[in-house]
Amino acid sequence: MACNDPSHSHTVDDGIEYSLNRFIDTGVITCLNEKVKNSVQSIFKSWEDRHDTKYFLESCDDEELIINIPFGAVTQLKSIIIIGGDGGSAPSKLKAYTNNSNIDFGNIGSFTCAQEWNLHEDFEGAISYSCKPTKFNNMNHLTLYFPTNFGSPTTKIYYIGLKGVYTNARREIVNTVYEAKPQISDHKADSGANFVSRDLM
Amino acid sequence: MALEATIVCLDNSEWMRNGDFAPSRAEAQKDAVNLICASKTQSNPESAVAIMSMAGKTPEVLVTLTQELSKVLGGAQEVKISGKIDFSTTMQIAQLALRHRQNKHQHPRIIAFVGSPLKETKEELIQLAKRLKKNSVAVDIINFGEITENTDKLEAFFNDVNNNDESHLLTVPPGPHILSDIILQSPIVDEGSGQFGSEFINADTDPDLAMALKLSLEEEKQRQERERKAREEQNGGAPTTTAATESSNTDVNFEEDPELAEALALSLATDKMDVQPSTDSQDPSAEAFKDQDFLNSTLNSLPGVDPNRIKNELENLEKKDEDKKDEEKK
Repeated sequence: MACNDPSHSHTVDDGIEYSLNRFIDTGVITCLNEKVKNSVQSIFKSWEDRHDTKYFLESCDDEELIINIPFGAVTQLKSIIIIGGDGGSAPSKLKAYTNNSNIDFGNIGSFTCAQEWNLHEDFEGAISYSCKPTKFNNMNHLTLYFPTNFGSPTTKIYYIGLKGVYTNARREIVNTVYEAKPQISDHKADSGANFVSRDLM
Repeated sequence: MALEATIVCLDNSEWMRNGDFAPSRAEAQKDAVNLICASKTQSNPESAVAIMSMAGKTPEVLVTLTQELSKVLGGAQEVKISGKIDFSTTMQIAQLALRHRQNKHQHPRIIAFVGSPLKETKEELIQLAKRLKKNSVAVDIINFGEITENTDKLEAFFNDVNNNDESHLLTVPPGPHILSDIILQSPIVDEGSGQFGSEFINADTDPDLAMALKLSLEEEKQRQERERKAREEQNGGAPTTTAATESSNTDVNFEEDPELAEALALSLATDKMDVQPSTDSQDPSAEAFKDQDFLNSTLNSLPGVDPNRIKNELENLEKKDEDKKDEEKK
């Protein structure tokens, strides 16, 4: 069923690599306009559980959804898979914004999105939407905005898969280790002419 | 103990000069604001509170979101009365202020005091409510003063802003009750197990002591309840709010000082004694004797007081009284 649209691919044979889901702390993911509080945290499932229809995210009064994903470390996003609900409740458009944690429905119009996709109804997780590498490098906060769906009054999403590279570069100021009782043996220093004296201790 | 960023919106319009809440609506509101800010900061030290005024030339943020209670209370005291409230602009400014909070983990909440007529239509309020709900802002409204005009509109607003029972609408009719006490008992200042707010400190260091304190406090509360019911029956349905006021006062004191609580409880009991016109308390010496018992137990709890000495002194006084009476009889 391949079409000529270069922004997504129909062959997802590296599904097991959708491993960013593993590195995401789902406890800090927030969503605006969700019907059930914190239901957004349950849709970042592992690749094997993507067909599990027990947990899903549904929008509240209208079809718009904003999902804020803060990453613990600097991340590079390569592609996204969305499994939506049926009956017109699957989202039809996706806009992604990077490194902006201030977005809500009031000010979303004033930001330019990093990338925008027209989504297709996908109940299998067979379509992956690729991300422009320049825009999604060195990202520590991702916002996904679903403005429209395929006709239903509310939007339902069953699974969101993120594929990318998770570097271990943490955004910390100082990495400290506190020692109650420093042991010389833990601090192996090279003995040489520069070494003053061990006997002082 | 939710982590929240709360903006408290005060009504400082001309309608607040009205005295239907003693001493004036503005004063009652100030008390209530102090209570709410204190409870928010105490329930979670990382929660932030802000204050804004709804009336005046334009709605204005007086204190930006801060964790320091003293700043918040200071800002609330400076509010001046003028003009009419602009509810929708207030909500928009509050939403903006909450959007730019430092700590995104704090759940945004707006608490609004509405004591003057709203100029917005129901439809406008419903639109506003939907926008607030979409941005997951919880809104608590304290409707007092102009309830006949506003209740309808505020209920429509509340139904549309309420998401999973996070928002509350409290309508307070005019009467002899105190606004702060009504708010204290409502879910707006409800922290779940918030009665014994300082209990968790004890539980960390000394669980046995905490348990003992909790049990004795509960017993005291039950005794209070029984006394209150007995008093109500005698006074023929006295206003429950005053009794609730007293019990809520003692609740607050329990947290800080069990000795003080005991003293208060005893003084309440002596009040009850004064209220009861019957029984045998026409004889002044019998009354003094009863008072002495209570006095003794109070004095026992105070350090540096020797109750025996006082008892001896009092008995000497009584003997002198009796001697005098004997002389008079002769």
